[in-house]
Amino acid sequence: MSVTGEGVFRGLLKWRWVALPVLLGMIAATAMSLPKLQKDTSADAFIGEDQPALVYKNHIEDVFGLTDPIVVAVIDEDDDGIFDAENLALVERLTRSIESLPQIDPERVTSLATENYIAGNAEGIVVEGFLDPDTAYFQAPPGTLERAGEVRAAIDDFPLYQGLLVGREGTATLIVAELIDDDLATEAYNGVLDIVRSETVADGTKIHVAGEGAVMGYLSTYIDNDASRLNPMAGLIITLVLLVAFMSLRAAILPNLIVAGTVLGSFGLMAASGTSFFVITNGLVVNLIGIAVADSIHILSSYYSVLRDEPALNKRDAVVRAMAQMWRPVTLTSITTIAGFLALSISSAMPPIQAFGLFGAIGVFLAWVYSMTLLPVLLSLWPTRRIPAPFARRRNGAARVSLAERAMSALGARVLAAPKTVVTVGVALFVFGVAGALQLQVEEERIANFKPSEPVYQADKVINATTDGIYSLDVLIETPAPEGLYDPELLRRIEDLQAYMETLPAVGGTTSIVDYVKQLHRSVQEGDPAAYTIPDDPDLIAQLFFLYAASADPADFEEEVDYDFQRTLVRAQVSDGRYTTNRDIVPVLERYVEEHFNDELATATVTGRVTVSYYWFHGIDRSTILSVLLSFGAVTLAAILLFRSPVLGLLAALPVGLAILLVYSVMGWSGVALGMGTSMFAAIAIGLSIDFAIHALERIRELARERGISVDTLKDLYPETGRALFFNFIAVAGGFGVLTTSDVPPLVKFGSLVAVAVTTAFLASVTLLPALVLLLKPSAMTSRYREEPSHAKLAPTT
Amino acid sequence: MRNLLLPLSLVLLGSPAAVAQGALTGDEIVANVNAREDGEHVTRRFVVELTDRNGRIRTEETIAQRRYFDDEKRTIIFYTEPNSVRGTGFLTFDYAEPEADDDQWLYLPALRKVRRISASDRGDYFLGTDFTYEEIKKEQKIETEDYVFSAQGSETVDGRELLIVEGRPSSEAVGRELGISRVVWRIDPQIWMSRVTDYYDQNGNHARTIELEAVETIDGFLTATQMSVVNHKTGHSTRISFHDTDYKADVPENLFTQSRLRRGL
Repeated sequence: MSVTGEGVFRGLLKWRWVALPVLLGMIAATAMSLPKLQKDTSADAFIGEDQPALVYKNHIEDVFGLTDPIVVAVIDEDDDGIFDAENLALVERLTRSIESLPQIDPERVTSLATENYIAGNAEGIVVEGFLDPDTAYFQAPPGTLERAGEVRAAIDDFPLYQGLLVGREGTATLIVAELIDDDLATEAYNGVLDIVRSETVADGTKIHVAGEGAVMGYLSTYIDNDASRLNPMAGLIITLVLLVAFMSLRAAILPNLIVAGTVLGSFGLMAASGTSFFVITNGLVVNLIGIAVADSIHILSSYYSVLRDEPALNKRDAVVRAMAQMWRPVTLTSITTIAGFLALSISSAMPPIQAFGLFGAIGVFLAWVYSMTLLPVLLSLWPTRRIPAPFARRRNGAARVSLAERAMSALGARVLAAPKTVVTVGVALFVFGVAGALQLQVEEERIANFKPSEPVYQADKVINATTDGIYSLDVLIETPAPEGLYDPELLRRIEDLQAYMETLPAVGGTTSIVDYVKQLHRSVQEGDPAAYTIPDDPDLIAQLFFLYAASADPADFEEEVDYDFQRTLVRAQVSDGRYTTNRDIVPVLERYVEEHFNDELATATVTGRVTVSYYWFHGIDRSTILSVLLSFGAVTLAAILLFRSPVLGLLAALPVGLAILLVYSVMGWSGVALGMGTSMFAAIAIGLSIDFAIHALERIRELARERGISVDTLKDLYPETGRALFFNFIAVAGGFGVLTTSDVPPLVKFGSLVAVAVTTAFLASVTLLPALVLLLKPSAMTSRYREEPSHAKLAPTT
Repeated sequence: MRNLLLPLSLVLLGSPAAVAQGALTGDEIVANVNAREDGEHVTRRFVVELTDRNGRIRTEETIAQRRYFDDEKRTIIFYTEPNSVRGTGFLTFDYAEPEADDDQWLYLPALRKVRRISASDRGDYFLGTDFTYEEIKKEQKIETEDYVFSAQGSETVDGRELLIVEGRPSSEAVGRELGISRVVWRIDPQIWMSRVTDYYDQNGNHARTIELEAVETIDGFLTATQMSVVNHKTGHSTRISFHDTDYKADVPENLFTQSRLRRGL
């Protein structure tokens, strides 16, 4: 619009042969590191490294050597459950094959085929493998029904393994295999699946593979498959939108180049900075495609209008004129979108979301740079000057009116004829939105990253239903001095703690060193059930510990208690991974531990997978509102500053606020919970939605300054800007709509919610905004820039 | 078998040229190792130093006696440190046939009771250390029935020329029981003991390395007085050092009984 703007773009095009290689070089340089991009699908990736819950979990991995396992369940719901010859032989075979996988630590595989039965009889202590071929205790040879019966009786007599190694109903038994390295999760999971597939099992027996190791392993493949389908589809849909909107080869090819430069650059920089590609990063690709293409749509629209309206201009001058018109709105929308992304990045405690926000902002910036430079250069270099059909004039000289243009004009006529009705509907929607948003529930479940039809999802549900649970909740007990765990008083407290934990919802069973002490105490007392107690003599406790250490592998011992007998772990199995369940467990347990420990005897800290899950989502739970308010505040402030008017800034924020509110309301009414995918939508939607309002207001102000605020003036908003906004909306909504076909449920929700938000924002920008302007006639709309008198000379575009 | 091999070893030891030329087969080298005399009985203290992967150290001290009853080996061990387990004792009867299960009894002083413990697998870890029962029991010797040996030339380590012998389990069952797929011994022909031994688990991963850290001649017997083992997979390691080794002191036969175990230290 401004003369200075024209000068800049004239200069750019004069040096276009220099600019072109520089820009292409910039794309290449930013994309260079792309092959180094690392994937990280672990759940821990979502937590800041300094979060106490994760610090403690890692601390426990260090001290006790516990890592996230792959869990294989053999399930047989028959009368004799898993205790028959075939099932136990299957467990033995599976265990040996899994131990031989290179990604699995063979010494950290736990199953009926690796664990020992510890018991006592008149003679002495029995420490025997359940399935070992030559044992003195088990009489029948392995592979017989008699042995299966003996094993069943042994498990019935051994509380430690009940619910943990074998389900309490006897219908399930687990093989728990720890990974050598989390990074090998995919290979390990595939290896375990191959082993399971190669097994022929008896009728009625089923094998399931689950566990955090499996989830991590599968998620990676799952995401790759999803990405390789979604991203081309988004590109295709957007290209189709461009073709329909412009009916021009230029308009289909050039925006794709801008998209390519933006996406390659953003992810290249992500790789160069050493940031991983997380589960949610997939959403960013589609996001950037939508944003990059929106800039192009507005610039191309303007360019074709200039070509049509000013036939005398040559190609280069037409590009300069179009850019001079569009640089301001495109820059404004880029700034507000960047503000939205940065607010997301700053307000989130989770590294993947921080990265999403940061690289989203970088992507928007790159899209702006390429739209402001590469696009005009390429447009001016494009060999033809053809005006595409939707912009061409009829033979009689009148502008050809396309369907989209007609539809938008018709919409405009109705809106402007009944502005009060429009505002009333807007207010009604607002009330409806508030009511719905109040019903919003918070929920997150990691396994819900998978569709319910996925085997890993089903495995999770089945194992949790047939055993004490697949998720672990730990309490780390620490005493101030070495050998503190020999204190009978402390062990009794741990026993009470276990009893308390077992009363918590979804907690199936608990294990601790106390169980071993009691089992060993009973073993050394001829197996007398009355001796299943904690001894009163600290020396005997010490000697039972010693006996346990002597009868186990050195690393087994490490899993339970540290060297100085200062630290030990109490582990509960939890069968429900939902946030709302974790929320009922972790805080109350923390309170219990605070009251009953944390004195001169010992301190206790609640940790484990369940606690980490609780805290990471608790972070979202709290930061969502903050993040939304911060993003909303950031874009509103940006709009106020850019329009240099509080009234216009607030007007611009209005469609955005309504859009967010309506999405929360849709979620509230339909029972879609606020989870990881759904909590991010707001900040993204704010950044995208504000664009519609800014383009609309910018144009309305331009028209109002020319001819004042009237129905007649505002009608002119619709044919060109309205049409461009419409295609902008279709492209963005289409891009995010693609996410609804994703296999990853959180992305499906994320995509649909952003699509709803963008639709609302688009509609509000072309209905509510003009209606309000017409009713309120804000003076800021018609006042001119005092500080920039040159703007008084506006280039008319109609 | 111990005594049968003695003449053979004298023959071989007497021909260093054959050794230098690498003319010995794997079986011959192992025969020399197994021919080493280790005394009818011995009494000693040993100190066990366990180190976890975070470098935390736990020390245990014991008094141990061992005596051969023909081919059967009996051992009695009492812990003296740490204080809380002082007096805890283990009595073990190792039978010569590898397939025969050993007998083992435990004494817990706090309970004043002797309990029999079911036999450990030979590949199981010895009393919470990184050594296996088999390694402790064999005292630097090698069970010939377990392996198929092959000589792999020699290697110079710390100025000593060591003979490399590789052993692979003689059957799948042995491999499973010992938890190995391959063992590489580096045998010093000067002492007929392996200076450095590498164990590979059933997946072929490098599992453990045992180093012989000190050898002394005591009462005329070559005696390993310090050795260490590192478990490469767990990062855990164990060092055992022997002190006050005495092959002459009387180790009466009636020491190796349950009633003696019950009397404690």
